[in-house]
Amino acid sequence: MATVKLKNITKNFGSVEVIRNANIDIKDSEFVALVGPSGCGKSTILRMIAGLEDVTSGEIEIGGNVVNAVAPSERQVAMVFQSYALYPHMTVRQNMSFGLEVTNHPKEKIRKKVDKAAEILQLQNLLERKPKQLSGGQRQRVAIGRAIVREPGVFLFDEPLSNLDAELRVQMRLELALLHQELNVTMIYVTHDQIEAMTLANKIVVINGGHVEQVGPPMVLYNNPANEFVAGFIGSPRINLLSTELVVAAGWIQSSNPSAARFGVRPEHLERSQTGLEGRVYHVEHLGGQTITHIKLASGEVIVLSEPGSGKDERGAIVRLAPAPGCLHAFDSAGMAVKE
Amino acid sequence: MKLNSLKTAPLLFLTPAVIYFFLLVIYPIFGSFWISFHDWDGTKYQCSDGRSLSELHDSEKCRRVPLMTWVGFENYERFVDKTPRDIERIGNYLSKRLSGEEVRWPRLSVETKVVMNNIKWIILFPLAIPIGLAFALFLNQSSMWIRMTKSLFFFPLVLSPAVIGFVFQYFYDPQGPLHEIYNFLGWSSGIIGDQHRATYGIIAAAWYPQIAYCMIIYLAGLTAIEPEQIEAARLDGAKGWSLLKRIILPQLWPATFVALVVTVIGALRSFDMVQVMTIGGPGRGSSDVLARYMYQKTLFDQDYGYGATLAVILFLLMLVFIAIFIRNMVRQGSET
Repeated sequence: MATVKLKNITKNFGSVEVIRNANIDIKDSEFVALVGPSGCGKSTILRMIAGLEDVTSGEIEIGGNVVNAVAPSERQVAMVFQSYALYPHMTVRQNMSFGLEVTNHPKEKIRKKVDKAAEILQLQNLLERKPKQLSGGQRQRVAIGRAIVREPGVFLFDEPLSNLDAELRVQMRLELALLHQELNVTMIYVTHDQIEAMTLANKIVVINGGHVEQVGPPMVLYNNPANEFVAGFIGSPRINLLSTELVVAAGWIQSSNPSAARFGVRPEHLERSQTGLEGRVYHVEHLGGQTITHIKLASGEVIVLSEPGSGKDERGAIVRLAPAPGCLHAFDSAGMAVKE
Repeated sequence: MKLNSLKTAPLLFLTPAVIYFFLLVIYPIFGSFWISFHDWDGTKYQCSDGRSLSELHDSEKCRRVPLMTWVGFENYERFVDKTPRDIERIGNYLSKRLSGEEVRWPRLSVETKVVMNNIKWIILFPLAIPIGLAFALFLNQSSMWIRMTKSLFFFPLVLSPAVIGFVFQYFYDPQGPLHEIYNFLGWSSGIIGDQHRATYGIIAAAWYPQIAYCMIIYLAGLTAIEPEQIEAARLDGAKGWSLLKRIILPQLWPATFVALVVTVIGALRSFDMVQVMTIGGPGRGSSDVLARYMYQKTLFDQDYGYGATLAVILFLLMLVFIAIFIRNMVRQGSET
């Protein structure tokens, strides 16, 4: 059983409160992504689960046992670090065997486990090389292999794809997704890239300033963000946020819930219409299969439109926009979502 | 034309330094070799054309050249002259001691004592390396107090060796601050006043700055180790000794190598501590080392030939170790 539960976790570094009362419930075999901007505390949470940081208050449970006082190597977790943290003076095989050797496993068993992990990750030909003779992607697979060999209950990933180039990142994303399917083990994945979170995770935890903003499956966070922060963080390009006056003046809604202060609509949920919000195009981005148009409104605010195909708008063209049905999100003055 | 200036410019820049190097390092080395085959007291000169100085007229001047007598390998023979006898005496001592007899340590020639002291230095002085490592591991933490303490630990290196020698002398004095300890142990001459213990006392004093030096080297080496690696090792279950032996020490090899080279060469070079604390004594040569004995023979006993011989022997001894180190370095270089 490799469930992970964080109960009322608070973390202070000296007098600075870094994590505020976090509660997260992770089920067995789930792939959970911890996302948030840099410095939000997601890595700190991961390290607390691993046991590399102490918990100021609250409990961490792994597999039903409270592990606050348990040493990192005894928590049944394995971690893949952002910099891979491979041992440079050892070969790939030695890197992967090290954890089992130090805990006195029999040599034959170690060899078998390393060979099996190498097969899963296609490292068979690289076993006798040293890390400096490997490419970034290969090093990362060795780091993952080192974790697999320990057969943990929980895999912890700390921004594993950050150091890879864009193309390799896409490829490794797919490999990680397939790995999760094959191993069927709980995985906790820290990233600042919401695309990685959306594509890999069963459940996403959005963190901001040490505070858990929302927990849920990717599409729930996308369609029903709990607040402006989640709405802005999930989805690319970023959601458009407009004041109530503007939205009412554009004729998008008749009258609104009085508590609604701002409205959000995603660039991909805007449609061209005869009436609606009017603005002037000031920049167009052509991605090939998608066009992103940046439009300046009379009020000076900016709105972004995302459409499939190649748009033909020129700079200075006049555009009128309206939201697709059911795609307008209301937020109150505190930024929390309002039910319409 | 361009190719020419590309080749000559570096040569031109190097020339002044090369000239200095040859004049002040290479030439004296060969000079020492040359002098070691002669007998010279440092005062006798002659004219370069072969006349003795007494043949000169009143106002005549000539270029002065040392008046050395060729003696071939006589100086070297002198060095090893008493060695067989000393080896026999030591052998007798050991066999008698092992069979339980009470014997006094035999009288040995100064040369033998000097070589034995050098061996003691080569073996004991490098113990500063693991001690320096221990300090470095302890000080490799990031708390504010540790950072302040680090600079204090660095202090011995800043002090002059002569000063350190004087201060240790003070503590080694049997009537000094530690007199009660010496009384209790029955060491009435203290440490450096006793011919059997003097060398060890000097080595202990020399450890003081050397440990600080090794500590600095290791601290620098430790900062080169990724902290995430240590965390990964912790997660893998490595603790304490296994962490040190399998993760940290292998990555500290460059630092260890530097520390070894400097310390071993330093052991052979040690001069100031010995000169300041015991002048090679007590008695004749009981704490003496090749570097200091050479100094005394040359400048005080005015036996330049023999002094040069000692210098050559020290040079050859160092050459052995330097050759080992260079071979290691070349092998390391070709691996990467």
